[in-house]
Amino acid sequence: MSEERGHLDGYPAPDRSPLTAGHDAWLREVWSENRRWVAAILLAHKPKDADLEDLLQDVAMTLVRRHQDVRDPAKIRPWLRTVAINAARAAGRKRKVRLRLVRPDADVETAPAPERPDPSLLDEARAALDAAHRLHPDYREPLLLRCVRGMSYRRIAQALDLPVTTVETRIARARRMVREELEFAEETVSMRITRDTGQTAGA
Amino acid sequence: MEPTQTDILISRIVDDEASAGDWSAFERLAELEPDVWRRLAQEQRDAASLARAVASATEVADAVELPLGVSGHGAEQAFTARFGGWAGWAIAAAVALAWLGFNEIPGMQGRDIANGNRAGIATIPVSADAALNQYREVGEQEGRYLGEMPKVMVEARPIPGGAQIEVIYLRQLLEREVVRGMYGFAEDDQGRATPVPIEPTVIQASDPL
Repeated sequence: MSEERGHLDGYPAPDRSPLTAGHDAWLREVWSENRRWVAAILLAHKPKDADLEDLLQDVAMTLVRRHQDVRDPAKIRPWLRTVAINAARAAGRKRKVRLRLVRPDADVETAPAPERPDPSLLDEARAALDAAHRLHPDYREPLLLRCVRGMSYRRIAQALDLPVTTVETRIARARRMVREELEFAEETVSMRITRDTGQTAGA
Repeated sequence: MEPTQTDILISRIVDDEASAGDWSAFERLAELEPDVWRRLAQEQRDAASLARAVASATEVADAVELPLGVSGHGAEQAFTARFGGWAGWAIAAAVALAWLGFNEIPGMQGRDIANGNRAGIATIPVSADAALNQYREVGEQEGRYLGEMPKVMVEARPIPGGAQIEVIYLRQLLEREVVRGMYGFAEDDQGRATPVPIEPTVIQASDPL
């Protein structure tokens, strides 16, 4: 078994006064160690059109303003997960559209096209993520968390506040369901091609 | 549908969580059912695809910092990063208005406001509060300034000496402006931000600019 175990795993109690420089450093470490999997939680629960960066900013702000609510530092991960899920659900309720005013003489800014890897790999990745999104959240969440580097079964269990065996079972089942979804999609495409080809040949 | 022992074994191997005992069990199974090797390869491929998609979607997290105000990397930067160009322009405009003398605003020369006639030489406000009050008064007269939202505390820290505390907070001024059009940003099929015209009827009061 391999695992990248962060030195914050045990979360030794910090100096919890909000007025010390050491406290800020502790908060930064907590955020730095956890923001990637927090993003995965948001990805698992957010509406498709919600902006992930906006939601991460919401979680970051809540961490700064409300972390004193967490009395046991070892519970910071389950707390961060709850904050992330609440942020994602709130985005679902609001169905926010990110708006910008366009001044008469201003060009609308667009992001430059990123460098793209092999298109077939991208298609596979997109199809796998779409299939994962169709799973029940109980299965989708641990599966996406496992995709984050360093998130072992044990760390996922800690974040979800579940037994390791439950996490393991859900991930295995999620994988099987994703595979079935992908096979179903492949068969559907294959049948459509066969039908269209047959129609063309018969015409 | 509970996962079978084979599902669990394959999942552990894919996740690099398999023990020596798991590998032995898998090899025994593969002797009876060689097809499990094909399943293992397929699931490793699926896992790699999903990991690629998740890594791409979540890499934005590395750019999101906590809004802690130290060494210039504070709440102001986080706020500006979040709300983008227009908000930055609006804040700059508000600050500029706040610091400009009343008579420096085009079209406002010689007009009276509540605290006296300021025609003639430009008046330099004696403090930020005085300047902000001037901005409010002028903004109200122009129909631009609508009010102030509650302040949001970002950080508090002691000032050396211990007797005082420095408080950093976000101040939100509500303004009105008439514009030609509004755009939202949607993603095209390649994941790029694309401007989409928005009908005013779909805009909600809570939407950030």
